[in-house]
Amino acid sequence: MNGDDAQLIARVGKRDLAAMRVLYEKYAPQLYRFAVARLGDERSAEDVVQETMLAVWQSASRFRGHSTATTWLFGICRRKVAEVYRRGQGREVPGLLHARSESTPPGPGLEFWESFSRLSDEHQEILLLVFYYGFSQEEAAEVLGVPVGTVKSRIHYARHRLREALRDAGAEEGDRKRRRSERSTGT
Amino acid sequence: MIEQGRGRPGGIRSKNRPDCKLVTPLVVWVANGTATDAERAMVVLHTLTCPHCRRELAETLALRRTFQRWVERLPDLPQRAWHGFVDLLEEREEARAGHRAAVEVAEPEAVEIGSVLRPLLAWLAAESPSPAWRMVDWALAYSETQGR
Repeated sequence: MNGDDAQLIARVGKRDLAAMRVLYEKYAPQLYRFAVARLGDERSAEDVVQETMLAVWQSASRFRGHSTATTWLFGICRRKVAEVYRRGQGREVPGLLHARSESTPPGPGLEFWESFSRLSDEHQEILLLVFYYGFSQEEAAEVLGVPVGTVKSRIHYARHRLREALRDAGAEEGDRKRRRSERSTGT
Repeated sequence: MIEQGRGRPGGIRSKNRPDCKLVTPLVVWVANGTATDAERAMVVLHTLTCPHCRRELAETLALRRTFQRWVERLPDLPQRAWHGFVDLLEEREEARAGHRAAVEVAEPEAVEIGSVLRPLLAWLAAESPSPAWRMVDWALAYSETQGR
């Protein structure tokens, strides 16, 4: 574990607000993107980050350093996201990225978002952790609280499902374009 | 070991190669940069001669780039977030302190166990013909004479 992080968490455990601020500024932006990607809603994502950091503040004194700060924080964050889903507040409208796509540079947009949002929670989590955050097998296993073998099989199936969803989305988009073209030519 | 593909002169039938089974699960970890040096070398060497795994690696690297571009486009945490956190922290700490105080105020007075047990035992002794219960009856009477 990073020694700086261990010291920071130890200081947070002694109610050191300055240390908490350093930890917050280092990790909250990463956790926020994870939460937005999972929830599709900025407000809920911010609430998840605040609740995660609050849990860190309250339990830092019990942190023994068996995991890294990163995996510990992401583990808490994913449980907070799951709580939002249990309360039925997650991903109602995938409009966030669509709205942003008007003003941001070109890149994977609504089609990718829709395909991703069709995946199960487990598959979304592991794809984000592995492909965006670059977690190793062991780190992903720590965050998710599952054996390494489960991580290996889960990432395999998650990729397979995403590939299928993207192919379906591509086919749907092709159909839409074809219908638009037929309408415009009057055939 | 490269096998010649049936019906395709010079073609490579990569899916039947035994080492594909070892390499395919490692491709993800090579693509995300967390494979060991030995694993990376194994995958790279294998993909030199296996078009199936080479394509798998290329697709996986492309998927990683897609994820990076997609997540980078997500909004940033608002600047005011830290101050919001401090407000939330104070609010929760106050609520916890208030809850603790309320629990202390509302805690009921301890009930003296004798005040419950003594009438119960007296009733049992009166109702039971057993000599053992008569002993209890005697003990209760004695304890009353002692003011206990």
